[in-house]
Amino acid sequence: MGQKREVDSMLEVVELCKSFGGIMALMNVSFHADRASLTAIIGPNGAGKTTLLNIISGVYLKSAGEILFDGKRITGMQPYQVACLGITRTFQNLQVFDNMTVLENVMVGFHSCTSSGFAACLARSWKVRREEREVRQRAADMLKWVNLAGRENQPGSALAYGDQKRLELARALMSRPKMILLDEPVSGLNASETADMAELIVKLKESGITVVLVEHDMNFVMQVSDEIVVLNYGEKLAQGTPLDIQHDDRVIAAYLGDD
Amino acid sequence: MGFSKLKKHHHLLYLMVLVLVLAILPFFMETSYYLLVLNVIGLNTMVVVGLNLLVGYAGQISMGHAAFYGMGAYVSAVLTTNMDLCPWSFSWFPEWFLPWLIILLAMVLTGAVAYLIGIPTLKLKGHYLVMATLGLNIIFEIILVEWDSVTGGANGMAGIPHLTVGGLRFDSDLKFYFLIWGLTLVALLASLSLVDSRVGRALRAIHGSEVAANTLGIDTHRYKVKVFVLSAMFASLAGSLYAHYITVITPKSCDIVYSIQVVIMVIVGGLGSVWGALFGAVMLTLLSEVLHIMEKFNVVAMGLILMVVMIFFPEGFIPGILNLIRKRKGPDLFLNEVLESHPWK
Repeated sequence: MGQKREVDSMLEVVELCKSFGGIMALMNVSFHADRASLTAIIGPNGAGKTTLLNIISGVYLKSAGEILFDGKRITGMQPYQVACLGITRTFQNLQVFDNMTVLENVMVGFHSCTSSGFAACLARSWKVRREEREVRQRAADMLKWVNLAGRENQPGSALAYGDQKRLELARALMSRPKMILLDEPVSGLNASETADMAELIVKLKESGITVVLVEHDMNFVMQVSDEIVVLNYGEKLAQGTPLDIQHDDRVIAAYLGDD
Repeated sequence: MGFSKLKKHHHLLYLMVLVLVLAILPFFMETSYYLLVLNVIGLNTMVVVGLNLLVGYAGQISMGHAAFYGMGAYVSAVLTTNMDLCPWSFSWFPEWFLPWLIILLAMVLTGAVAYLIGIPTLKLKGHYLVMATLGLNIIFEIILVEWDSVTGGANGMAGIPHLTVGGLRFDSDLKFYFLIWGLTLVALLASLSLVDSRVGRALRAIHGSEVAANTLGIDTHRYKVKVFVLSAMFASLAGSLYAHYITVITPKSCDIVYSIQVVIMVIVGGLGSVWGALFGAVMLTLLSEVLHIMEKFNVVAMGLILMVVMIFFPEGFIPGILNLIRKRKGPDLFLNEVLESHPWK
């Protein structure tokens, strides 16, 4: 068991291993992310980046190693338990609820902060009515923050790709998480959309949320990250500041190329 | 725009229209046969509204809901025809109150059975879930037939007493009409209320993307089980009322064919639409009655309708027709506004 670091470490991944059948997707990966920092995980396709995010968020259950969040052991927890502890995420392949409106999508994000159950909702108690008004207002405000105001009643799937990515972000932020995992937040976005998203993500970090993201866009990564973790073939190749990583020979050889 | 208030409360509007229609309809019924049909529609609506929460909103399937309907019917039948079985026969309740209490008991029992079955079953997906729920019908029928000392076996039970409240006895089609539709309206209202709430959104989230729902703090398995139990309780209530209405029940009233019929009603009506559930129940019950003369054709017709709906209107009959209208009519402001602002709920 790794020793407990100083309080600044929000996320600590210790000797994480994951295999699918005979294939080792992750081998003894260890790194930490400081509180209110932005850590980017980079590496070639198949390096295990999304697998890493899936394990941290509880989507994949069985893995060897330990994950500590704010000092608390979260290894093996179900995704909904992880969410209630303050970790939310977005998805590489967009998991927007296309059977709901934009506003409703974002309202679902507040689920872990409310508690009305079946009985209360069937009877539409006063508590439920109050809650509904509150969630609706918060969701509307959140949409303004990500620049999606005015689209509240459109079906989630009707939005353009870039807007859906912002929608997922808004949804993940509703519960005021302590840490957010972003899986390829700018993939498929053009230059100006990428710049907008970068601005949003940096604002998140500045508001105190720990951000861990996976990305392929190197300009974006170098621009926003405090710390970069490089994965290759399921193993951690290097960790350091953008400057360190840019000059790391092993990383250049494996991934960055001559730059 | 003056229409925005209307849109917001459109469910209440539909409800008021429904209440109005229901209030005046009996006066147009020439024979009590028509009332009987309306009552059966009411019972089916109750089952379908509950099932719709499971199938349409949470996106799960159950091909075994006739068993829950049957449980409600048989628990009510057995306990009210053998009042001495009730430990609290000599209680502080007036005697007329007991059958109502038994209906509640039946709902609790059915709910408990649904809970126990639901926990392992709802971990299954797709075909496996269908098979498991189909099996429920078979097991229930075997129990009914084999335990004939209690259930009357294949011949069923007769002599089930009518429900009473004080001096009022629900012994005519008309009286039962008000009882059943009163309760079904409550079920509709509860369903509408549930759907537009935190729980309703959680259910739809599970259907939309189970993994995303999980990562937002929704314990998806627990929600699936809970909505399964709720839908079973709706079915149980309908079953109990059926027993006290017809006063006779047999295994045939709650067989596998009924399970399939109610699922077809949900699908035809439009998954994920409470009003669609009502529509599906009305349409298919009427059709079933019309075709009753040609009994075997009934089942064939149901199957054909299901196929047509699945191929041409997969979102359900109403949403499908509305979409067709929207495409044909082009820019009609009010209609478009209504259609666009409500991904058919």
